[in-house]
Amino acid sequence: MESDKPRSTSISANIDVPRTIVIPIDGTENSDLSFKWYVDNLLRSTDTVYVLHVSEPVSMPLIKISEGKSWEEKLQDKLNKVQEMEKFFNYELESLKIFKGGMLVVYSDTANKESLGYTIITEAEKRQANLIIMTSRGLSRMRRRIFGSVSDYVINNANVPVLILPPGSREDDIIPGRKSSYLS
Amino acid sequence: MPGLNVVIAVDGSKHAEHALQYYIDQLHRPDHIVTALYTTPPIIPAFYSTPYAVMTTDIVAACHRDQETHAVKLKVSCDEIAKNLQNYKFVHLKDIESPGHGIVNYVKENNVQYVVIGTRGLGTVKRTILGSVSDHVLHHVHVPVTIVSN
Repeated sequence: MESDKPRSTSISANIDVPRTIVIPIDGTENSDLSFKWYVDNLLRSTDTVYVLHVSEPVSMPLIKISEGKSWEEKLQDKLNKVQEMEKFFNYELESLKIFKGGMLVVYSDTANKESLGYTIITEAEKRQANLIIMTSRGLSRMRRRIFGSVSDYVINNANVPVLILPPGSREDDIIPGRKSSYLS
Repeated sequence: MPGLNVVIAVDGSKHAEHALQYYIDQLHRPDHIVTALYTTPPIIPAFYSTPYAVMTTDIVAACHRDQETHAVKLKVSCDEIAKNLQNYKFVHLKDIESPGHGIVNYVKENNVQYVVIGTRGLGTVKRTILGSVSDHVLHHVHVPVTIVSN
């Protein structure tokens, strides 16, 4: 293995090019990692940051097996959660002195992984993003084909560079056979 | 936050050059430690012998020289793109059969924390969405990976 000693020059390469970053999140702890990683490693004061949440419709089981919440209650829960998310990220961005961008919530009418990915890409293109930052769940190739993968869709179809972060922990996986907080 | 250890995988293709340029313009911070990583396969004489042409020692030597010239050309162009960086080096890994495995091993052994790679390399099969090396690196390295498209 051949390598050269690192060179040092006195001129800094960081020209502070203005960037637009889109960080899609889905409300799980795993996806919050993408925001945290961006802040720790890539943050620049000249950035425009959009934290994007695509909200899927509330789904109800076809057959009522046990007493559960009604559709209206579930919808209200979801709206409350989205509101909390909005408050949290807008506050975070303000305290990091990023005044351009903000939290974006898009209400999608289908729960299809492809349409989720499609929404993310269209929102990023609308705002001329330079980078999309998202986490992956660490699924194997087979599981990704069966269960769908938003990050796969975005990598393959975005015209914008995509940064994929490895999953922090497996607790968000609800696929049987994987380590998860309610199976173990 | 101490300096992030970054690797940008290059192979001589325009995609890789673009990825390096993109990193420098959009992702670089002065405290990052940057490595441009290039892997080349081993030259195994027996593999390339046919009934009509045997790999003689001078052909093997010519192959080695060819590899060296490509490596030097690539190093020169990468150094030119990265001329204003403070902590930058070009690393050429030799005798690596699979570039994907080579990159993943380098990342593991050197505690690399971030990888930047293009979507495709020199073998431009235009209908593939993501090249085989990029795909391998993306799924086997347990650090953030940025895939730079064109």
